[in-house]
Amino acid sequence: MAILEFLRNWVKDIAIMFILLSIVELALPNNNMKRYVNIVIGFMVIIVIISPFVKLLNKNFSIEQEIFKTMVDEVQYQYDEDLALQNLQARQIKETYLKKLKENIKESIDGVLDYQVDDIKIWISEDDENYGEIKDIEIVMGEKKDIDHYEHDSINTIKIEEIKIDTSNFEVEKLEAFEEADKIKNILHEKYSIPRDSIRIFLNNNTEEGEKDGEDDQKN
Amino acid sequence: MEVVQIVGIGLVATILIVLLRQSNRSDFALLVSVVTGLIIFAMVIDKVKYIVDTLSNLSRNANIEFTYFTTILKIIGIAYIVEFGAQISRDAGEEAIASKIELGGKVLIMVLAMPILLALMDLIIKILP
Repeated sequence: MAILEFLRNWVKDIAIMFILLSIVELALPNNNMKRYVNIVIGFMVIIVIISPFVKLLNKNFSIEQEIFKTMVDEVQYQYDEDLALQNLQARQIKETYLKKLKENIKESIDGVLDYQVDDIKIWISEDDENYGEIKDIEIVMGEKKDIDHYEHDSINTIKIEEIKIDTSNFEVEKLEAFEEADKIKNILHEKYSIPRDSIRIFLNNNTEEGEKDGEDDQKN
Repeated sequence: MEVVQIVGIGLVATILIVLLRQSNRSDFALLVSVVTGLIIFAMVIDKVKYIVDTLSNLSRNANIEFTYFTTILKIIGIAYIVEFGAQISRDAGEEAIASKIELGGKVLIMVLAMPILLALMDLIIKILP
């Protein structure tokens, strides 16, 4: 069944790729620029066709990370003199990469559990060798909020005694380790090959059910 | 009716340019052709935005990595802008400048294509045992 799913995704990717490319080719201006665009399109087709096999052979490989790395290199190459601009560009690339990663992770978690992702923090390694590899990841989960349920509960949820100004803690949110964390860790470990130790998952329990589910030891 | 507008603007500009050329004012003819190009471009720019948005939504739904798609869009944009500039130079009879503009566009397209090329090389090398 896994093979069937693999084939299905692969064929779907290729089909949608070609539909998109046919529209793109329609939009091309008809001069000799067309040759250059066609070369790039050809590269992309090859990448889409063979990248599933690479993932099959070595699961650690992410083409996105590869491109991200070369983009950073190129930025450094182009603006060698202008340090400020170089930093700015590198930071922007990093931010975009992180944002996309967060979206991906959120999508892969949201479908599986009854909780929703409130916040994700990711630290990536910045040395040259494995630029873009995820070093540390911190996920804050919350109760899934149905709209009806939320309105019904909203009076209970807002309690004045919950508001404490805690100067000793950096995080004011009350964060607790939580039971289903292992499941999420497994998902993330399989999909992004992040070591289990560097994934931290908390339950943001400002609803009453959350306190029942969470364990008592408080982490920050 | 926008087609009629665009074609109308084009025809009016063409007649103007022919008249200007006949009375030996080809400097003004050039200006008219630049402005016409810009007006027609401005008329369709929001439609282009709609097309690009639709395509990027589609590519987001499919599993295709978004990096590739933005690269291709950028390349098409460069191709269009370069063509615009090069044609104007060519109209003015400056074939040399036109080919320099095209050279610049080609180099920029190649720079954009480099990350994809390097990634592809990496991919192939990783596949080999």
